[in-house]
Amino acid sequence: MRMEFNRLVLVKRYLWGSLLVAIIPLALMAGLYDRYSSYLHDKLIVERIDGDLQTAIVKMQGFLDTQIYHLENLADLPEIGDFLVSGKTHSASPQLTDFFYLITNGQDVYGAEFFDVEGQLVHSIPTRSALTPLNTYHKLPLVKTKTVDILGPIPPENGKPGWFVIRKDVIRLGEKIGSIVLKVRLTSLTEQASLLYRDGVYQPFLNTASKASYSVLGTKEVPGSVITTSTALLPGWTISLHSYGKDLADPRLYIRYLLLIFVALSAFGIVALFVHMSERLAHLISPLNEGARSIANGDFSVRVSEDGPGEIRSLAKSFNEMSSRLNSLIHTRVDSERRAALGNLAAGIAHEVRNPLAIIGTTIHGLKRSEKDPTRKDMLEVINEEIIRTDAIVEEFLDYARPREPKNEATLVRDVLNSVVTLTSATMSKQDVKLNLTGDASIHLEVDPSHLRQILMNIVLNSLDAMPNGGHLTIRTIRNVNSGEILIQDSGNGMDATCLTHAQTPFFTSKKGGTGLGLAICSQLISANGGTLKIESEVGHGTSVSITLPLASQALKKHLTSSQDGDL
Amino acid sequence: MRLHKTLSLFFFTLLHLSITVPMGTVWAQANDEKIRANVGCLYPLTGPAGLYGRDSVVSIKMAQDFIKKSQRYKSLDLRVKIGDTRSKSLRAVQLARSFIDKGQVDFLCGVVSSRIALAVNEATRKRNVFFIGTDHASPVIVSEALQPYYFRMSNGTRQSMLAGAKYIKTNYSKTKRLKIAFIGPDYDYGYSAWRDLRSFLKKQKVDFEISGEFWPKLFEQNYAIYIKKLIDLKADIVINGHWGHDLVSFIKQARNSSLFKQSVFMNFDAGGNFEVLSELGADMPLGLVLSARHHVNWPETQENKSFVQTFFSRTGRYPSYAAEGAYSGIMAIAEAVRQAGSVLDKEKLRDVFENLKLKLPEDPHGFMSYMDPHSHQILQVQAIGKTVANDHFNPAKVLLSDWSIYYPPSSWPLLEEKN
Repeated sequence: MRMEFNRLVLVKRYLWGSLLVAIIPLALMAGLYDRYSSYLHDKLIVERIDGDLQTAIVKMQGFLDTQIYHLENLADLPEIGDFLVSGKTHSASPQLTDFFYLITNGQDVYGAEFFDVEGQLVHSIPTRSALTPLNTYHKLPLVKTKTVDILGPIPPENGKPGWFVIRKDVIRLGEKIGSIVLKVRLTSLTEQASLLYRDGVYQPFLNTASKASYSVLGTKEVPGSVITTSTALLPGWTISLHSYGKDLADPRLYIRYLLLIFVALSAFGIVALFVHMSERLAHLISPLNEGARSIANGDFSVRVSEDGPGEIRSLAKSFNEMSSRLNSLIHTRVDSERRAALGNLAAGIAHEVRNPLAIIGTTIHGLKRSEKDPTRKDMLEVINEEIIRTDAIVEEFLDYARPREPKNEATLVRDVLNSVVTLTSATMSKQDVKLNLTGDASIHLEVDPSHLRQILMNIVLNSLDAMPNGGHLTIRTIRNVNSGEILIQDSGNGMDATCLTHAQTPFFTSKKGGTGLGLAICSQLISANGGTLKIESEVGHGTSVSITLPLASQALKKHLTSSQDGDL
Repeated sequence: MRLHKTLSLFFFTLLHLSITVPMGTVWAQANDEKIRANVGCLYPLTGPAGLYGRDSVVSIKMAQDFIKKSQRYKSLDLRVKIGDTRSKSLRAVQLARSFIDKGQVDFLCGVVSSRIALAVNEATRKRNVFFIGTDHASPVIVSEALQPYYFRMSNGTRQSMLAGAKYIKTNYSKTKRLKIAFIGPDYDYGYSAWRDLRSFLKKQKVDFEISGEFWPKLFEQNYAIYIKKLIDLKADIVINGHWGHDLVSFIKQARNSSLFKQSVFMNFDAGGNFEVLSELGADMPLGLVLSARHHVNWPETQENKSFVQTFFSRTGRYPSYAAEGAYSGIMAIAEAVRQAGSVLDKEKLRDVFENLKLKLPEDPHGFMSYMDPHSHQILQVQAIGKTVANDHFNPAKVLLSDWSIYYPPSSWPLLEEKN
């Protein structure tokens, strides 16, 4: 196969060339698309994350500013100054309480506490705090801004939520007289970044100066790997984005890998298709190539399969037709040359043999007339018969070597067969051969009647020779669409395969005293009359000879039918 | 038709409020020849918790009608003002002051939210006015923040959580260490409920660990991240401390997640409230472990059936537990005034309240609600059930069944340790 494939290098080149033309643009396009989409995706993700991160920072800053604004409003209340200066524990007035509830109704502030300049608690709203005791404030991480202090945060623990403190000094006449703190809900701050939460992909975390990280729900957690970090919300306080579960680029990578797999599969498919096509084409062309090589080597009998598709089948048909015609041409040419040579030879022999034979015959005839002795007269008669037989052989030889051109006419088969049967009936009777004539009596063949007679006579005589001790001879005539068939079957000895193969070869004979020209002449005459000869034989079972000849044209047939129709 | 009736009643109430009394208050009844008791009730009539207030107003009227017809209270002239707090602390405090200063009320009553109740309690602490809590449930107001004239006429979270701890002990703590997560509203009610449950679980010697705690705001609308976090925890039990619209929102948002399949969902204080069941309808998942301070289908006593059907005949809807709480509050006031014979002797009235024993709609056969004199907390039976399909109380398609009944201890339970 490899040799065949290598021999068909042109096919291979075309196919592989086409393959490269198909795959290289595909690979280039896939590569460029992958790079472009990767760039676009990264750019969009980064821009979106940066935008959301900035939005979250702004929202957190806004939340803190709102709480600081509330704290400043509280600090500016005149009542605050009064009870901070007094240094005694006070009950807040209804107005102060109302103001506190007004600013904390949104649930973002758990409470407010008021301290004098010594740091002693003067008042708190509400008076009872559910959260961590006050004495822990000094332990909380502290971040100072220009206007307030941020303490904490305190993470959620012991069944309580997380919170942090915003503290502001209260200044009157340029002097600090105390401070106010707001206890702010931590989740209210962290949830400002919830727009950055992407389930299973990434989550935002609030990172404080104390290195603690708080989820969007305000729970203290150890975050995953960091993706990006914002600018500072407060000194040391940032928002960072951390990947969780899936890689951030997972969706893009998935599509990317899918695309690459698709491209690889496409390339593989194309390669497989091209290899298959290449092998198939080689398989189809290889017999043609071998056939051409055989013809080049002189084997004109070679035929190639015509099962291929399209143009290959057409090419195979043309090839077979070409080889058939070439074969026929060569054989015809050889036969013509052989016949020409044989004809010259036959003419010479006839000239050189027949003349002496004529002289001998004339002489014998004279001697016989003058001879009185009956014994010697018989001997002269024998010589005369042998001379006649020799002349007949020479005549046969001449017939074969220089066949007469057929003079075709509509010939009623029945007439010819009747003639042959009449001539051979004595021999049949003598050899106890039973004749059986069947079939269509009205077949008119477009043949030379003398040729047909000679053909049938030869074949019938051969059959009789094959049945020296009796047998059955069947002659059947069959009408086909455009031809008539004469089938002659005997129950004689039959022929073996070798004899059957050479039966039509000139000068081949299995009969003692035969010339080996009978069937050769038959074959020649049948062919000259546009027919075919087919012989089948089996040793011990007899021989069947089929002669197929063209039917006579309708005009001739009608002309003859009116007067000669009838059965055999 | 039912909706029409409901809306008609609601708008009638609002119209009545706006015409008769400034600041959203209404006088409900007047009769000068009897012992007169003025009551000022604070409820949210609008906003997310508005149904609680509207249900309470209906049941207050039911109680007044009952008192009016009852021979037992024939000498009593009970007048009730109602103020719409709109679920805001400032407005509630201002209404309370107005009731006391301008309305001359002898009793404040109501308040749904514990945070607002605490604010009102603080604002009125030194006014020596009785404050009869009917709906808020934080234990703080009957312990650390207790004032002498405060009494609560419905079970609080401590009782709910005690029953819940017993339920977990009985049904879920036999095989392995339980992983329990909590989510509840970020105010004292939520903190107290969670603290009490943990304390009672320890007391019941339940082997458990806390896998997470979350504190969304009251009236939070988006629970998506909370639900995701709860699913990530893979807890055996999720304790939910929400009530009202918050619980409805949470369940609606969680019902299509794996949370209810993965964990047993429990809410012992307000989850079985009819308001929640009716709002969720067929969206209420089955198999949730819930309870409430009152149920429309338990106990199957004549008193409870009568209360539920009377409420239904008046409104076209079935009552939430807030209705039964408000009814209990008014009946408690009536009974206390009847026993004291006057509203003037506050010490006598307080003494009566401290020893009050009353048959209420939510009391099962053979049981009467009774006041704990130390905490001023009424002690009632707590029934915990599982959600099952039941459309006998439309529009609810799911009700509680498979009840576990927990009778109250002799006194309001105290915590043995701080958590």
